Amino acid sequence: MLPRRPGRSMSIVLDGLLAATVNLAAYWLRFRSDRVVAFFPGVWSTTPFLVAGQLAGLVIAGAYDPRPRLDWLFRVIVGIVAGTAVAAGVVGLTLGFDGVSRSAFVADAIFMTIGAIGWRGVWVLRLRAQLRSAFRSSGDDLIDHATELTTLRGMGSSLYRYRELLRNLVLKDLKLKYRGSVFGFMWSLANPLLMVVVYTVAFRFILQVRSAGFVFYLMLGMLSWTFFANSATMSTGAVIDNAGLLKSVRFPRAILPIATVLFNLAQYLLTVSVFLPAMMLWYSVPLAAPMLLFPVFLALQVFFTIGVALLLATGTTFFRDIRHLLEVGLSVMFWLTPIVYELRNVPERLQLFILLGPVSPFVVAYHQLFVYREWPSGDVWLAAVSYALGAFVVGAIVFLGFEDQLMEQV
Amino acid sequence: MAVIEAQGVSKRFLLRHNAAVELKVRFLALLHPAKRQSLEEFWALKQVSLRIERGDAIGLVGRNGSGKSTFLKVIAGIHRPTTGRLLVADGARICSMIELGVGFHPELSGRENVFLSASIHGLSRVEIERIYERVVEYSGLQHFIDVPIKNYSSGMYMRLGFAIAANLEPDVLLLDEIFAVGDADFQQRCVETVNSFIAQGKTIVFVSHSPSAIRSICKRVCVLEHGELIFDGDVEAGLGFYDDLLAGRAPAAVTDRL
Repeated sequence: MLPRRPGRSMSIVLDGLLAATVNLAAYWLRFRSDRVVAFFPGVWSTTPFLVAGQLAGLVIAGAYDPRPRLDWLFRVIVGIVAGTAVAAGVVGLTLGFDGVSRSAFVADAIFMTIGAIGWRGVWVLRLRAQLRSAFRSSGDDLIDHATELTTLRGMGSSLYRYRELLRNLVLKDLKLKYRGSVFGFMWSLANPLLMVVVYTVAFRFILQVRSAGFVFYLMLGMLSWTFFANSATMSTGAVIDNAGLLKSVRFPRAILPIATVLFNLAQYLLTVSVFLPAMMLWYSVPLAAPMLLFPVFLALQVFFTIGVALLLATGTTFFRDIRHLLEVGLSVMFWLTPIVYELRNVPERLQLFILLGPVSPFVVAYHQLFVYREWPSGDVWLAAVSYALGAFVVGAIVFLGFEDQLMEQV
Repeated sequence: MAVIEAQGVSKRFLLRHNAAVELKVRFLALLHPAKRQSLEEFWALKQVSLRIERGDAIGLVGRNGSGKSTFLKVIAGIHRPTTGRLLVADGARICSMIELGVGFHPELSGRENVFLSASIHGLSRVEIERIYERVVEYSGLQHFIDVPIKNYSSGMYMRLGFAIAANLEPDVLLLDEIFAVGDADFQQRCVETVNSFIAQGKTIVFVSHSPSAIRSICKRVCVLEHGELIFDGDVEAGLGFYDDLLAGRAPAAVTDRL
């Protein structure tokens, strides 16, 4: 059987290697591949500070001590953020900030957190799977079904067994949304159409934005943002609003937040399948090969959104405040995402900040695919893939870790 | 052959009176490690061990708050035991009827609710389509099946709920006092259905306060008091034991199998 966690020294070595790699990646992100060579001196001089700072932060925050449950999750985040901040301060005081990128520190902290949580999360999930098989083999023909749902594979297979429920929950929401209204499903097309009209008037005629395809650019970002924002908002109620259901039947609870994401995905797909071709015709956007990558980035966004939904659904059951916090958070995040403005018009030193907004990599990717018609750049790939996997792993371990307590909180 | 085995199952609930208080308590706990245990604990089940054989029909009795429903929920897998283990036979389908009409949505029609509710219990589409006709016939609501159930009377609502539950084809059926709500006719029908389950060799765990319902269904009675299993045995002896307990003549644990 796996030990509860890798040995302390091995963890520290792993985190150290991760910190060094991430620092390099952060510089590459900040200065793109063409100019990164000019900044190598900056990388080599800051790496020791950052690695030392982050490891010290992790040690002081107690991330390597044996801790109950998911305590380590918060300690890892606190340790890395504090460690990076201190390291940045030390670098500023000793070397000065000449030739050293400050936004690279932020990128460094974000990717370090994702990486450090990522490998620990994978370890936890593997450990759970092994514990389960140990439990199973101990009994004769009786199984302990408390251990069944707490593994990723258990969650996956139970989701598959309950696929009919998933389908019915999504259908229920779709039916209920339009039942009783005269135009029914037409509304999910009428709303974006009205948005297009309003934006065209507002931006082309009032604000006089000259670029012709601007409304197309805007709608592309707006629709995918709406998919994310609606999923996040609905997922906060996914568990607590179904208290009656949770208290009387056993079923994989993860279905509830996942169903809200799929419901919003269904709506998004309906809208997009009509609007994307229509707008491409209207604004005479030529077809291009990069557009074939749309399903890939959509899948990444769905993974990301499911992770966020699992996290929010669990969080809200313990702290109802998250609902209200999310409202504010979403309006801040909206402006941190290049939807209304173009990433390339942002001052160069701030571009990395904007690209690292939670939803930005996906929106930027859609822009690159459809507006600029180019293959997504490496930084977008890196950010999109690591956000999707990071959010999914964190969402899964948090949800699985607290699943048994959800009942007592609703 | 055992279908369900509880091995020293205990269930602890933390009583949180107010989430805001809890946040404060957590914050204080960071500063004062000594105050960390200030959440109030409540043990709803204490070291309950019980082996349920295939084909058993067990009646769980006890006062309000004695842990009957919690135990039923632990068996159903809704609650996880805090300590101890709850084992179930591999592949056994356990259906809980803790509430009738689970997951019903008032705006949906009877038909849509049948599909929704049955899928919550884990049935696949093929299985639901197979039982659908039987459910409708059993409920006697053929004429109303496409009407939104917000227009149903409470009796119709219960009939539909029970019709689904009765046709889920479980191996183990967990019942929590659901007969208490209907009229005499409905109760009679429920008892007949449950007895036909027993005749088919299915396992029943039944929570009730009604001695007559227990007598007509169960072959074995377990008495819970303050979360502890204090009697396990024959129906008449169990009901007598429970009467004594209620009257305050607590007999010194005269138990068959404990």
